[in-house]
Amino acid sequence: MNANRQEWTSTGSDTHTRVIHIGFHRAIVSRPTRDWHKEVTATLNELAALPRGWDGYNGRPVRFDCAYFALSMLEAICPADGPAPQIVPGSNGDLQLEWHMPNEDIELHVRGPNKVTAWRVAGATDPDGEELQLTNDFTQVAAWIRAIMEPAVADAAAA
Amino acid sequence: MLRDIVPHDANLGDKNLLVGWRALTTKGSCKTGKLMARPAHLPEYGSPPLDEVVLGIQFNPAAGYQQIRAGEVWALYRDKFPVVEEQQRLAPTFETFGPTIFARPAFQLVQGAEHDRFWFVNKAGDELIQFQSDRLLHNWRRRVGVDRPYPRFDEIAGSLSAEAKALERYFDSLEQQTLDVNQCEMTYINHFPIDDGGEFQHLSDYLKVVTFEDEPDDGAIQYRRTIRADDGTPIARLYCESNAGIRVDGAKVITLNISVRGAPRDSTIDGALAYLKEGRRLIVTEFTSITTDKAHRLWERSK
Amino acid sequence: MPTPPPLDAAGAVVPHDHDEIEAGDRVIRRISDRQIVTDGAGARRISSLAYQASGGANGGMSVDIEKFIVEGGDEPEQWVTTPRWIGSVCFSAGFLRGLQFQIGYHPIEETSERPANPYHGEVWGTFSRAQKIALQQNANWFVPIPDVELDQPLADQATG
Repeated sequence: MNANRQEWTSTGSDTHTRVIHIGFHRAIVSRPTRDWHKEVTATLNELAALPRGWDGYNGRPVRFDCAYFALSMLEAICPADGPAPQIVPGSNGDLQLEWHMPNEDIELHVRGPNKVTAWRVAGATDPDGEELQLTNDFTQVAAWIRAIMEPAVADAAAA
Repeated sequence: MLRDIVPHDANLGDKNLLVGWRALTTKGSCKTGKLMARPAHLPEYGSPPLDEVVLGIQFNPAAGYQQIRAGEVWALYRDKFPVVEEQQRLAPTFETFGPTIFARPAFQLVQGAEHDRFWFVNKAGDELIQFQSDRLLHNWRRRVGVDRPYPRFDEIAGSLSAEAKALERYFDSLEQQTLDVNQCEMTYINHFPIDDGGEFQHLSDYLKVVTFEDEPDDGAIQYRRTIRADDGTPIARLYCESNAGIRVDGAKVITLNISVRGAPRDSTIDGALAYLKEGRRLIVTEFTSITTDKAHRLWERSK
Repeated sequence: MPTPPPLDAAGAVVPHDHDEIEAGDRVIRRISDRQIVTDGAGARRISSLAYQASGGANGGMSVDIEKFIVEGGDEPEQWVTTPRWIGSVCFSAGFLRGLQFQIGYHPIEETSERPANPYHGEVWGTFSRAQKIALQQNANWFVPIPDVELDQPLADQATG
């Protein structure tokens, strides 16, 4: 497999053995470096290796597919310079991504692939916050993430 | 919106498009039969340049199943697929949608126990089932010396449906459960032979998305597109990739791979198959829209 | 020994309110360091995900019943932190029932994957956002975790 190519079709059985793709120099726009990526993948690896009963009861390690789905979701909503979430394991192999800012909290509970409960509270005047049940479209959550980044962006511009 | 992704010359009736997508966006069992029959105006080719077709589903891991039981899964299909091969596992993939999507994340999860991917291959070697603890796929591939034509989408989809239902019954025998499909995927892999000095010697002889004043020696194209339902909800992603290559027999080819992936609204097997049927329409439409009229004549386009 | 819990046809414990768990009895929830997050003010707090039901048809939130630990001859603070659990919070059974939860008894036998817990109980309910907020804001330390603060009820926050 040519390391320079982005392999999108990985389920073909033998195209890559029967056809040798011609290598040539081309400009590769690599995936942007994600500031949060390394931290998140390291945490997900730890949580997927938790021992059974890690919570004092019957807690399971974070499920493989939940971890991958969470990362796919983050890729869709969190820009390269976005804040890394805190990641909390659930007892059922699920997990929750959390951002806590001075005036805003966001929690994304990944119950399983395509099963996300998204919750945001902005300020003490709205203690119950806003809750969404989502599958794989995270456009609204991306707006929440942009909103919590805005004070930082403004500060950087003023500096 | 939906009309934006369908070229004006696709000659597809509005009713077929809208009715098809309406079925996709409604949760609950998807009706088969007349609603999901091959759309009347979908382009059809008597001799398509297909080299391989893959249809597959990804599902939540089954309760009670461990890799030690893989032989029991093979037994479900062994009479028709007697040859087994072991391959590296495929990582889970999910299409998610938001403003900052990039290519699939390069993420390696390190875990103690991993389930291999098994290939169960038929005697002729032109069809195989791919199985791992969270995936089931059915491949048809063109083989030298096998004189069976491309069996067409409906036959491959029917095979996948039967194989998935057999797997579901097996998992249910371990612990009461049904398959919970979280992703569907399908890929059509085409090979276009290059005929030096003949009518088809350049990329632009096959693909009309590129035109050159001075043809390059070779090239590659990659693009992808979000597919949306009538209400704007993203429901799938289409990937298209074309590369120059050399077959192991030395012949020059251009490969064109078109894939559709996404989460079915109805996570049952029937819901997944309905999703794949609509994915077939997207792929055939895209294929037709980006390939040249003279290539269509070569492939005996009848509609 | 407490009265055995009701079981369904498959032998699984059915959600119930156990008569011998009285309103004033304390229900203990163990907290792992994995369930601690940093809030917007930089303080360490317990994540809302620490309060949720386990999976499965009759799954509830696992707890330990202090009264049963004492009756069994064990020391509650030692029981819930042995061998490695760093802390725990508690609620009164009456408070939980006031939030529309049921509190029942579900003793756990030893398996190859986990030790026995004869004092194990479960809290059954919806675990809505409002209920989780109430749990976060009304938890009391049973075994405190150093440098971790508990949420205050909003009313207390307003008056300081």
